Amino acid sequence: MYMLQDLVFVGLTLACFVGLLGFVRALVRI
Amino acid sequence: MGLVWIEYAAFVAVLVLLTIPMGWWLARCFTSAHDSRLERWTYAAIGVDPHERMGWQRYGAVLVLSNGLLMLLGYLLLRLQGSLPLNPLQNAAQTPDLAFNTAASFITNTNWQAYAGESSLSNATQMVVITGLMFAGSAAGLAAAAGFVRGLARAGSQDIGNYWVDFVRMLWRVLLPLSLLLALVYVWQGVPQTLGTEVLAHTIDGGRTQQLLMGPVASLESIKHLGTNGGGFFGMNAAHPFENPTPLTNMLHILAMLLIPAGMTYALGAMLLKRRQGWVFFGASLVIFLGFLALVWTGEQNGSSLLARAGADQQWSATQSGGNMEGKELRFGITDTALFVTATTAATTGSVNAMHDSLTPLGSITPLALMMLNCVFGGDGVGLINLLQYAILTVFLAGMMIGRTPEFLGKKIEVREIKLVMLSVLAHPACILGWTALAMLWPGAADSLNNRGPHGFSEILYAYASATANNGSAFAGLNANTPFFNTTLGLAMLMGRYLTLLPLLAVAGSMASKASVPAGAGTFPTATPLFTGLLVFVVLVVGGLTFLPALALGPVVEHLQMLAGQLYP
Amino acid sequence: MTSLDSDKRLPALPAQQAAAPAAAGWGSTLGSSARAAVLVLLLCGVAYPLATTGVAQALLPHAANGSLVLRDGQIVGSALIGQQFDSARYFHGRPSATTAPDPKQDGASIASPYNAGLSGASNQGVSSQGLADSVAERVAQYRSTNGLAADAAVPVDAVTASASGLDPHISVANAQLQLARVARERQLPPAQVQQLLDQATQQRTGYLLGEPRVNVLALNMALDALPTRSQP
Repeated sequence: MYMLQDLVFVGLTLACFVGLLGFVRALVRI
Repeated sequence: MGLVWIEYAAFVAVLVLLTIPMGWWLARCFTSAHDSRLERWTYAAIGVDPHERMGWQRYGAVLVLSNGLLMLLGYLLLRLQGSLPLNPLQNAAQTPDLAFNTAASFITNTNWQAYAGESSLSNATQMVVITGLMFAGSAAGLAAAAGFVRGLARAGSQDIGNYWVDFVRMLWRVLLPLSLLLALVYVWQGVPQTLGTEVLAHTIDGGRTQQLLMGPVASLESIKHLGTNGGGFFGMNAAHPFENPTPLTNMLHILAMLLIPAGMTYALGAMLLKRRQGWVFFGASLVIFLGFLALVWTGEQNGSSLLARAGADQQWSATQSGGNMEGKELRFGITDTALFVTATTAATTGSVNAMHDSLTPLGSITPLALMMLNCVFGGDGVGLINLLQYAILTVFLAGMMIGRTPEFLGKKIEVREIKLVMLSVLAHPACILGWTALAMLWPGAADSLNNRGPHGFSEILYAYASATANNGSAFAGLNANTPFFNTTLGLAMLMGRYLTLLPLLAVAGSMASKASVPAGAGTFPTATPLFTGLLVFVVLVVGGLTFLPALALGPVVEHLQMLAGQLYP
Repeated sequence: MTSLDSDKRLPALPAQQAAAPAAAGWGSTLGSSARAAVLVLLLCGVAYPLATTGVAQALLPHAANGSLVLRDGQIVGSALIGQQFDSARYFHGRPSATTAPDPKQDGASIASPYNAGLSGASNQGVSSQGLADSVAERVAQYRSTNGLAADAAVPVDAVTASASGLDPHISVANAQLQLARVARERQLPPAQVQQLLDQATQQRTGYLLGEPRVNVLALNMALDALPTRSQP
C-alpha cells in the first residue's frame, strides 16, 4: 500500500527538482 | 522594569561585538585561496575540482542537484527507520507524506516538524537525518550567499565562485567547529548528550513512573541555532528543559541564531571593501527587529484581559513575571521569551521557547510579520540575499522618483535585474497567500484547527508563512500531520526556498558581468543612514501592503474581539 | 568598484583564469552530488554527534545523562524536569497539559501531567473558551487548596500551563502562597519552611537573565529530608 505512495512522493520530489533545473535554464532567458 | 531595558541593551551590545569577528571570519572563508588538507581530501572524495570556476547557472544547478539528492536520501532513511539500528523504542518508519514533508523541510533549512521527535524518531534518525541535514541546508544557504556577494563585487566576469568549495568550507571552517564547541557549553548547562534513549524515574509523590526521554540532544541543539535550522529534538522544542535548561542557554540560543546572519552583513561589507555598507544592512535589520521586539514584549507583558477576568494575577512584581504565562516556561518569563520569539522568526530559525499559538493577538503579529518580511537578519545566507533584494528594489524606486538610472554598488540596475528581483519578491507572498487560500477552502482542512474563529485562520496563515519563509515554527495547535498539509506545506517550503533563491543568483550573475561605473555626483549613496531609513521603509511598506489584509483577518480581528470579551469554544 | 582581484586586504579567488578547467559534465555532477550527500550525512550525522557524545560523556557525565536526581539509591527524577505533585504536604508545580495514549481506547489520549515521554502544551489562544474555563477552574481550586479568600489574586503561573508541560519551576509569589498550607500539613514552623524556600530559590542569572524561580522537586525533597515529628 505504501509502495504507491512512495512512488508518488519520490516522483513529486524528482519533478520538483527537475523543474527547478528547468527554472534555472528559463531564468537565463529573462 | 528597568531590568528589561538593561537586558535588551546588553543583548544588542553583545550581538554587535560578536558580529565583527564572525563576519570577518566568514569573509575570509569565502575569499581565501588556500584549501586545507581536510578540504582537499573532501573534494577528492566527492570527485570535484575545486578550481572549477562556475557561472551563476552552473552554481545554481549544482545547488539544486545536490540539494535534491540530499532530500531523496533523507526521504529514504525516514522511510526505512524501522529497519535501522539504534532504535530501542521500535519507532516505525514515517509515512510517505510525512517523510516527504520532513525531508523537504530539513533540506530547505525550514525544519518544520509535523512529528514529535522524542516519541517518533530513533536516536539514529535524529543524528543522521535530522542533524546531518541541518548542516547541509545551512551550508547550502551560506554558499548561495557567497556566490551572490561575489556577483555584486566582481565586474566584467562570468564567475561567481565554486559551489562545492563554498559548501565544504562552511562545513569545515564554520559550522562543525562552532557546533561542537557550543554543544559542549550546552552540556555543561544540562542539555543531555547520550546515545541512551530513556531513563525511568519514580516520582516522590505517588510513586508514579516518569519516562525521561533523552538522546544526543546537545549536538543537535547547537547546529539547530547556529545553522538557523530550528527543528527540535523534542516536540516542544526549546521550551523543553532538556533543550533549553537555563536562562543562559536561552540567551546562547538567541545569540547563536543571529550570529551568522548578522555576521553575513559584516562579511558583505568586508568582501566589498565597504564596511559601512555592511553596517547599513545590519542597522536596517536591527531597527525592524527592535520595533517588533517592543510589540511582542508589550503584548505579552500586558497579558490577556480574559485571563484577568478569570482571576489570574498578571501583574509584574519582584516575585513573579506576570503577563500571559500560558504556553510559556517560568525560567524565561516574559522578557526572555519575547526576545526569543523575535529572534527566532527574524532569523527564520523557527525553534520556540514558548507556544506561539498561545501568544496574545498583538504579540503574535511579531512572529507572523517577521516571517512575512523574511529579511530581518534572516536565515543563514538567504537572509542577506533577501535584504539585498529589497536594497535593489529601494535603489530602483529612489531612482525612478528622481528620474535617474538606478545604480547599486557601482553597477547599473537594468530591466533584467528588476524583473528577476520582482519574480523573487512576488514568489514569497504568492506562495503564502495562495496556499493559505487553498487550505481555507479544502474540505476537511478545518478539522486540523485547535482554535476556532480568527485565531484558527491565524493558525493556517502562520503555517504557510512559516513554510514559505523557511522558518519552521508553528501555531502548534494545528494538526499538520495530514496528507493535505504535509504535501502542500512541503511544496510551500521548496517553493519558498528555491523560487526566491534562484532568481537572485541570476541577478548576481548579471551584476558580475556588468562593467563597474565609477561613483559620480548623481549617484545615490547607499552607505548612509538615509538609505538605511529608506530601506526599512521599503521593506515595511512592500511587506505591509502585501500582508496587511491577511493580518487584519487574523491577529487584528482577534485582538479587537479579545477586548470585547469574545470567546470561541 | 574594483573586482576582488585587486583587493589587497583579502586574498581572493581569481575571477578568471586564462585556461579555466572545463565544467564537469552532468553525469559527473550527479555522481558528485550523490557522494556529497552520503559524505555529509556520515560526517555531520554520524561522526560529529558521536564525537560530541564521547567528549560530553567523558567530561560532564552527570549533565550529559540528564541531571538525574537520586534518593536512597533510586532515580526519582531529573533536576531539570518537573513532576506531578498532588498531596497537600508538597508544594505543587504549574499545571501541565501533557497527555498520554489512552490505554482503553486506541488513538485517543488522556490527560497525563508531566509526561516526559511526550512533551506538550494546550496551544490555546487567549480567545479560547476552553482556556478561560480551565483558568477559572484552576483559580478556584488554588484558592480553596491554599486557604485564600474568594477574590484573592492568584499568580498567573499557577493557573496557566507551561509550554513543555515539564516546567520544573514555580514563581516565588506562587510558592509564598502555598507556604502556609505546607507548613500546616507537615506541622513545621513556617519560618523553617520559608528558609528552605529561600534556599531553593534561584535568582536571575547574572542578575539579568531569566526570572527568580523555585525548583519544586528540590524544595519538596528538602522538606522530606527534614526530621519531622509526624511522618504519616
